[in-house]
Amino acid sequence: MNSGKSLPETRSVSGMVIDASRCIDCKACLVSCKVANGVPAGQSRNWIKTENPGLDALTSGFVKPRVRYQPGGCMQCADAPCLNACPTGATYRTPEDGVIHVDKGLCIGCGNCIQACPYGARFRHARQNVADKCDFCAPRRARGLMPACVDTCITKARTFGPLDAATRAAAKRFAEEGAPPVTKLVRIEPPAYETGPKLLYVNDTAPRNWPAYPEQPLPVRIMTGPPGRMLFAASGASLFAVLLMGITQFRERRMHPHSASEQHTDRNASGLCPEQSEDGAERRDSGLRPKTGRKGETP
Amino acid sequence: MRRAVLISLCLLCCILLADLSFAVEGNTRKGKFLYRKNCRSCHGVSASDLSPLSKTQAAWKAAAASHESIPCVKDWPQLSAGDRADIFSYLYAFAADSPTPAKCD
Amino acid sequence: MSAKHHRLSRRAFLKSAAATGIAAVAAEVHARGKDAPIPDASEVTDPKAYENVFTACDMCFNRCAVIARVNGEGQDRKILKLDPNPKCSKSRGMLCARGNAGVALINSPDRLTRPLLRTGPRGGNLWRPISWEEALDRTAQAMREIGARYSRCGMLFTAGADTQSRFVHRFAEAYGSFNITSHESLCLLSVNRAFMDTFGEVPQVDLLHCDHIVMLGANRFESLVMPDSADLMQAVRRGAKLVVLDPRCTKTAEAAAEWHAIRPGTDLAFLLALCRVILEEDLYDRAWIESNTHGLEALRAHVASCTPAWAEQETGIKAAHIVRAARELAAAAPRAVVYPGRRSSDYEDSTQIRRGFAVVNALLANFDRPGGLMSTPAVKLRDIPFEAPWFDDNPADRVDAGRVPLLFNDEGSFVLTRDAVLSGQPYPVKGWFIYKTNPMGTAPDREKTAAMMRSLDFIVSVDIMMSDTAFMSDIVLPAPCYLERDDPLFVLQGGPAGPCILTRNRVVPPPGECRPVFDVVKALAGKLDIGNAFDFTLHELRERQLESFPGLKTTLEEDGVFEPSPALYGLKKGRPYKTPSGRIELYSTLYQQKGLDPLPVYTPPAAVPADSFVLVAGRTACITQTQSQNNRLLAEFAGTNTLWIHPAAAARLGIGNGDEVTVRSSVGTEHLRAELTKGIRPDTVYMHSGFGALASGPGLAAGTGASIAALFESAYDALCGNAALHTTRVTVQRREGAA
Repeated sequence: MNSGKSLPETRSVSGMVIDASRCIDCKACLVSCKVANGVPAGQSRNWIKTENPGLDALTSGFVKPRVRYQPGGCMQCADAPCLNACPTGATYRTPEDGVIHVDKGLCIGCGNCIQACPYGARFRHARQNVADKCDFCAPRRARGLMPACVDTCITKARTFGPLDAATRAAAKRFAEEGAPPVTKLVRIEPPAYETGPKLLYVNDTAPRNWPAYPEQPLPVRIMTGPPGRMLFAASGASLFAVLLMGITQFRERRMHPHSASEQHTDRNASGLCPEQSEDGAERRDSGLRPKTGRKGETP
Repeated sequence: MRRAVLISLCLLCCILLADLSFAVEGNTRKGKFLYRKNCRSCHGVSASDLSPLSKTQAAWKAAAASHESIPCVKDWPQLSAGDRADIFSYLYAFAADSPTPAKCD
Repeated sequence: MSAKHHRLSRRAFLKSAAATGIAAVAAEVHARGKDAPIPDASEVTDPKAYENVFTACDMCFNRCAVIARVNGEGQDRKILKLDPNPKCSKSRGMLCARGNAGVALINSPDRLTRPLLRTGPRGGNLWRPISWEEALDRTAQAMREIGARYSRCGMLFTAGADTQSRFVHRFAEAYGSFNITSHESLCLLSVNRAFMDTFGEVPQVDLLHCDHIVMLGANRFESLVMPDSADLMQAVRRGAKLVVLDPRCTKTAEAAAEWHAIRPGTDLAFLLALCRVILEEDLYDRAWIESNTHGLEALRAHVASCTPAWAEQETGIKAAHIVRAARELAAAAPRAVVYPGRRSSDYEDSTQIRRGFAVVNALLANFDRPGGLMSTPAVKLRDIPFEAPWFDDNPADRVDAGRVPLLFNDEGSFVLTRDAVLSGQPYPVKGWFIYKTNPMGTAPDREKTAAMMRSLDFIVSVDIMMSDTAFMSDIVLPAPCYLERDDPLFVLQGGPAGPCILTRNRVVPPPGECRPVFDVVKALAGKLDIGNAFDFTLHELRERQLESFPGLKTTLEEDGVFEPSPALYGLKKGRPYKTPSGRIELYSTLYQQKGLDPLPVYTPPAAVPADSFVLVAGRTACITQTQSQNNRLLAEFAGTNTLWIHPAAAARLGIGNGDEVTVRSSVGTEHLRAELTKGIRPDTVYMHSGFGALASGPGLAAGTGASIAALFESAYDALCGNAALHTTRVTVQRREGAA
């Protein structure tokens, strides 16, 4: 099992900086992602969440509706519950950009990672039957293209790149456009667990408190909890015992060559050890035979 | 006497003004066809590259009112008064200062 | 533990399977099925196996510039992705959901691939595939017969918003018919007429630099217009104030500072009251108005009785808000607009209503200035000219002429043309050539359109899928979609982004026997002895067009877009406006000459009976009316429509959220599910356009949702003949026997 905590704090880590206040829920990013990444019908690597306070608040004869849209996707967490949950290492992180991938050849389809993700960012690909998730369009980036959702956005709500550079670029663009300045970047995180997302929201966003605490799937909890530790301890102890046996035997052989440890390898056709003869000639004493062993008996 | 002249002048002005306030009458469709058949053979080839856009509506209106004073009139083929009216109504309708409808594309 | 070194992977197996052709066979079996996989761009990892082709989208009229990412050759050629072209200023380097979904056209099981001949009754869905030669011969013969038996004007030609529609118009002219319509008399004719008659041209809008926008009915964050939609968001983020007046709370209303649920049909009362406040409180640029406009005093007198209190009675918007709206607009002027809008097929006085829009803009002194209305710079492409013939035995004019005083000669009125066809007056029209448009799906009173079609001798449709209109035709000709053909160059006006020149380059070969309409009309022209109108190839036309500007050819090849970058503001330079007075006409000289109201007069909408609703329609960013039907990618987000209804109104009718309801107008009955929302007036109901298709096939759209065309009544604007859809009143009931 990998531990997600080992991410080095490199400033080249890739991230996405999103101004959710520009989002008009046009679905362009959803369709763009689907086409670029072959996502099956009814499934999605990204989403747009809505917070709609409703139209009850009719103030002074007109309405100021404040529906908020929040485009999102895999957070490429610095401390990734999915990485922790993967038994085969199919889920891994590329250190140069901090992006988390699924090696579909290694994925056994256990579904642990899908359960473990607090954001619901992963799913079982309907055709390939393995886990699938956003990888910031790694094949597009390999060709020098932006991720599909960034490229296509009508209102240019998304900026992508090395996280600090992306933040600076977003801030610069906002300044040029006369938009409100970037005063902070907001993380969407589960309660009591700092996933360290690399998809960040400019200034404000809603809804905020939707990810649940990332409960690792039961098999993972068992294997990493006290039962698992005991199992490992027991395995370790067994291994140690076997090793000890091996060493002891080895030492015995060295001290006592031609010992009974060789006897049982050379039985003749009658099933008797070669040093035995049917007329009961004296046998060498291996030292391992019980002293009270009767004639002809093997220990 | 002076009053009579004044009134006549006013009437004349009114007639002229009234005349100017109406579009040049004629069949603009047929005028387009006739223009291309009779005028385009020179204009745009040997003579000036004339098209409806070459003049304002007022200029075409004036030309229609006194077509005999147009320089090339002697080179014109046989045109009836109706043909002439059609041609000028086409030129007027698509003159430089006529509204040009913008299409969907 | 690195995971990259394991070689025994599923991917490796798939690759070997592909090598043996197994996967290829499986893909072919799937390709024609309903769930044919969209080509997976992520599978192609070799950058060299990946080519860029410049084209322009066609999923709506915007024609955003596109770079198609392509892989493979010949029949294996696949589009992996359609990406925006960042170099096109007009499309702001973006591509919407529909643009991305264009790839779903390629493998769609609904694509027409062979010419079809109707064998049963019209609309009976019985077809026989025929050869192109037979299809063209039959069409030419039918057109010859109609020309001989009736007149050349006996053929009607209707072409949609498309870069090849110009060839259909050329064909119609060469054939000798005056009867050409498009979708425009079901859409934007009124606003074009009104602004043209006021300003002498139809302006663009500079939202990018605007500080105050009043938007009546337009829904720019869902009915996308580029660059307006992107620029509007930027303006709002910059601090511009957006005020939306709409009977329903659209996504544009959601993003606005204020949403006023204005009573449908009362926009003009609001606008006249704005004029009154601006004039009475002296909130206008006197010098500019006096030197640029005509009729100020007449306007002042005209709006004397249009008080905010009066407007409140009509619109339901409080007088104090109307006064404030006028003051805020005027304070922000000239960087303030009353957004002209586009679809104005609403009321029988829609042109006069839009005149109200135009007049307020004139008072804001925003014409030809940053942040206001923009005069459009002329950008002309060279062409291959042609001389239209003259037929003495033709009627004098279009069949819909003389019914309304301000008909556009090139557009006519579909509603009036249909009436003329059905009545046979003033002369018979008995044939119809239809290209890339679907009147059965979008014209009001679908039953009437069907009756019109049944009354004709011959109908030929050219389309990519079996639309409801093609469904009712005699011959259906399969066309390539926009990704499968070369197109002529075309100019797009981009408002503050400036104009641009684009073209389409074929990305993948078309399926089956599809032929572009250029080839169809060229072949027909040959058979009808009018081939001289088409004595050129598309390539030759493109070459001629490419001579229009220095560097045009190379720039298009390298960048996919050419931007001539002319001056965008101050274009008038003191030159007269193209109006009779040479000025912006607050008071319309032309209308006065024709005996029409020279200043817009407010007509209250008919009262809505207690048990009825006003029916309004619109769309989302995933819909382009019926054009986007049958798209597997869009169906996930816009698979059907619902009837928006206010909870109070629904409660009175015993309708719960999600209940099936029956909607009845005087011309049709439709069924769909109710969606309860407070985001609509209690006297109004709404549905998306583009659903309720009749044509059945393997696709997704047949029978899904309800059709606005079946419900809308066919009123029309009294000045230009634009359809008037929102005069329709409907009743709504829980569907009998529904779950």
